Amino acid sequence: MQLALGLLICLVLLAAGLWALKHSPQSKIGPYGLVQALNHVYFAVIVALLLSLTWTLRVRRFRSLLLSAHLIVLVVLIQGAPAVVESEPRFATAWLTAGFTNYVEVTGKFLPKIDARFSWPSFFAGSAVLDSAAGLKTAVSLIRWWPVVLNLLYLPLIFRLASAFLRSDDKAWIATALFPLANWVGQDYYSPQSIAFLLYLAFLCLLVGPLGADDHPLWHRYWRSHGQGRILRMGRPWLAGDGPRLDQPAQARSPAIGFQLCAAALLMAAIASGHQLTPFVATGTALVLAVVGRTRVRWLIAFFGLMTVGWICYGADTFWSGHFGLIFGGVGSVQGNVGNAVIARLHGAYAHLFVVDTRSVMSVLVWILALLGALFWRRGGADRRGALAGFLLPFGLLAGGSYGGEAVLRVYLFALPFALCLVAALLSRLRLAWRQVATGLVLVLLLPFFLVSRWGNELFELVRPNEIKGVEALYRMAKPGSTLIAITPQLPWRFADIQQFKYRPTPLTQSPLELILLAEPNPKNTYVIITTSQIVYGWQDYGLSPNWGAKVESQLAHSKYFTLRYKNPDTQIFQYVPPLRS
Amino acid sequence: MNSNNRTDIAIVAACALVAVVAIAAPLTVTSSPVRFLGAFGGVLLGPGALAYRLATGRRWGECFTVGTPMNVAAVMLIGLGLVDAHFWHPTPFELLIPLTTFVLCCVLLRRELRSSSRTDMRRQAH
Repeated sequence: MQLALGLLICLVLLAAGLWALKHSPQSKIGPYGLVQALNHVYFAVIVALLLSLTWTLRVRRFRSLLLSAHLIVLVVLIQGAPAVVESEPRFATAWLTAGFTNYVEVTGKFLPKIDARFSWPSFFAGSAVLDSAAGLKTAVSLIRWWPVVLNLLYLPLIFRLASAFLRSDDKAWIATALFPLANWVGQDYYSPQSIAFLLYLAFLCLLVGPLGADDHPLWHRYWRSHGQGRILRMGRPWLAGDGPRLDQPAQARSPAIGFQLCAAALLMAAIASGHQLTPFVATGTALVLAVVGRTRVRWLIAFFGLMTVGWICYGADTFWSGHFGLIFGGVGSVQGNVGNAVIARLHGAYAHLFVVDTRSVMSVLVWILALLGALFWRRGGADRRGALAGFLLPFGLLAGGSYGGEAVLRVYLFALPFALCLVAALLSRLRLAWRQVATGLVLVLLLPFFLVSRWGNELFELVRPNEIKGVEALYRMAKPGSTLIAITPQLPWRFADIQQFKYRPTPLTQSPLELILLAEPNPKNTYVIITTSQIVYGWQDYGLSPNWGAKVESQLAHSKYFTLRYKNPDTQIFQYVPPLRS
Repeated sequence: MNSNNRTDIAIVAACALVAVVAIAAPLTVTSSPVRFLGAFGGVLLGPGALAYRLATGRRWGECFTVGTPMNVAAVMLIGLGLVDAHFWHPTPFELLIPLTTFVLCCVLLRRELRSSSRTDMRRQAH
């Protein structure tokens, strides 16, 4: 009866949520993003779902099944909202990634000189293999529901990881329930990093789960061997032994360990060849977990490190040769990297600044709750040392480089699984009834933060059907070898025939003179494409006036060097007309 | 046969069914939702979880949680190997995944049936 009722509630809320999303018009998406377009029923449905989820946390029978059903509905409704509301799959970079995959599927080759991402190509190769087997004509078909599928795959791994650190399924469910609403960083679109994060979570699950240990940390042994045991005992609550011992049979040597080590190596090999940053974080986390005595994998970590460095030397040589400044330029400059990642983003229109502020507040809120969780950890309950070490390690990325201004986003993402363990531990300090109330409050509090942080830039991150028609028209009219210029990078292109054209995405170009300079090397076949998303991007992200795009279009239309070749309500394409030289 | 055995056999049979669809679909239809579901289902319910179960005997939940990312990693490395070897024939090589699944399903099924028949014999002896 309880099971049937719980599943019925989930089904009804799913149907109501999808109905509300279907009745949320895309045209209402405004400067604050998707939240402006969402039907009021949608908010009521999500709040009801969160309350039902919180109630289910105390259910004893069929709890796993009921909580899983709630979480599946939650992920579909909040991560899949744009997939239902918007007419085209969102986010220009996902279209570009699909273009890379299509190229590999058709040719069986990579193009490392065209884009750095091709130096870590296993994602594109794997996706091309699957697309080919599935009979897909283009990987664009995968973009729309990719974030939903990936978030659904993350959830069981988050649960396993939390279960390993918190040593309690009750607490692990709290951490898992928080994940969909706390994961605002948007790195789960169709991209190498989305899969690399999945493999990273599985790698961690192996390290702290079946390959986990409950040893003293390395410094403990060092101090004891140097006769400093007394000092160590004074600091013992923080340093060691605040968790129960793992069950010994789990630690016994068996043939299974060989298989699990091979599995960890397989995951690491795919991570090392699939993404630039994740292998460093994975190796670093493995090292830290070994130092704090939470994994039996020790010497193999050197092998993981060798895989990471080995791939860079062998597979990514096209990238690093000639880009030393780009790779090592930010090393050690924490201030510069934080500045690039945070302060450099604090510009633009008021609405965009509001979104950036919301993201900052939400991140800091999660981090503060995590630190409080570490501070008020209940002794003997679980593994604070491992969770805290895993939480703090990604902050080291800030010393490694700015990562294109995205370092803080990556820090938040990689620290999130551990942070949620600490937050769940904090909430678990309360008695059962209060724990439920607090969990419900945190979930409901996270909801508006999530909706603004995750979908706040939707006005320029959504893809309009007329833009796709415009880009397709551009591909039809431009001869192979033509130069294609976009006035800002926010354009869904390069999803087909990436090798045929020379692409010139510019950070921001406002004057025809700059466009002429870009066109000069290929005077007969240069096209400039201007779309609504690019104009909105300049307005929101750079703080230009809302009609700056219209001015550029007017200047080009009245210039003797450009001629309008195509126009629809969201796209204009101009062709460069070189001056006659005597 | 106890309920655990029945659950195991049901899971293994489901994996085998998806593997058969994943093998048959590319050979019979050019492009359809069945082929799409077969290819992606074949990876989600692929050999990783079954191999994990065979090697470690752990619960199915853990096997699928770790096994599915293992399948994804395997597909990525197969693709990388094909490109690096300049031998780009993705569809036949992708079939290695469901084929391995099918073989592992047979091995697991045999083991489960053996263990259930042993249990039945013990019960009868009692």
